[in-house]
Amino acid sequence: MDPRSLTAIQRDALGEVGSIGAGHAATALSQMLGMPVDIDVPDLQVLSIPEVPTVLGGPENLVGAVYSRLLGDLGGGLLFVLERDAFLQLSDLLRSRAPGTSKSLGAAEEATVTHAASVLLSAYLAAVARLTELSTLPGPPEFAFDMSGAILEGVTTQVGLKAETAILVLTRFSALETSVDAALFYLPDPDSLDVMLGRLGVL
Amino acid sequence: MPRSVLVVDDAAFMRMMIRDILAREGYLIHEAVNGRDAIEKYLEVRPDLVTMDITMPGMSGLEALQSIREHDPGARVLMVSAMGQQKMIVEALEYGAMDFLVKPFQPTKVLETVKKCLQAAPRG
Repeated sequence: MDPRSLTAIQRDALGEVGSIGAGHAATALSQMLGMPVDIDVPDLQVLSIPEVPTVLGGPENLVGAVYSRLLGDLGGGLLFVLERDAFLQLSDLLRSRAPGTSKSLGAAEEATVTHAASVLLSAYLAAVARLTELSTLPGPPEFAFDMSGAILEGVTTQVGLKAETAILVLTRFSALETSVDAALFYLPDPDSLDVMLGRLGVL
Repeated sequence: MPRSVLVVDDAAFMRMMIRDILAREGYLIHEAVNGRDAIEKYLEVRPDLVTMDITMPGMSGLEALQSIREHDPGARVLMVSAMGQQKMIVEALEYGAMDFLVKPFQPTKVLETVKKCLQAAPRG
């Protein structure tokens, strides 16, 4: 289904899927950190795939991303994207270091954030699965630090993702004095989008 | 006389879901799209119960909960949110919410919790 042909209630339903997923991702982060985590009211958007880099600061903007392919009843992929500074801030928070300690993106930062992103994506997906009463799991997470256009190209061409639509949640996770802006995408393949809308009762 | 429920959520889809679950069981449904709207509608229709989302633009559900309970200390409010962290739940209960449902939910759980809230004595 072309995202431009989605009705208002279908867009709203997909946005709510993203919102509930983000709420559960915040709960997972809170459990990981052992402290409360707040999220701002998420900015929810349903986009066509070529529009994705424009919401990530343009196709040449450097970002860190963690990608997971979906397995089970729903196909497609999940993508968690952070700007470089946000990536380092999240790494400091997760490693109980003072904000600003990490200056460069090394193996420790990559491993820490990839693990956290994987837990967040799993929490997001578990909420989607419960809402739609479908069984789905994330595959192993893959990390990339690159221009947003290149990351998207990697996901769509190399991995062979057939998605036409991106369900985006842009939000800010806050814990202690750290706030991290994150973009969380669900990129359903066309059949899965129909299945999901059907399960939500808005097809 | 059917019991009335004010469903507060910024997502039209979620209001529709809760409305369908409750209307099928004979509840009379009113809707509000954010915290501020919830307070106005509450004072206008004086529902038997409010289901309240938390993360909403403008005024959050927690702020609306406090305001409604200030206007009416006997107001019955059930929080419905995906933000199921312990701190959030405790805070809502301290502000006078009767219960807390974590999204996504099963329809039977919604009906069961709404019934329980309506049968319990209001938290004055």
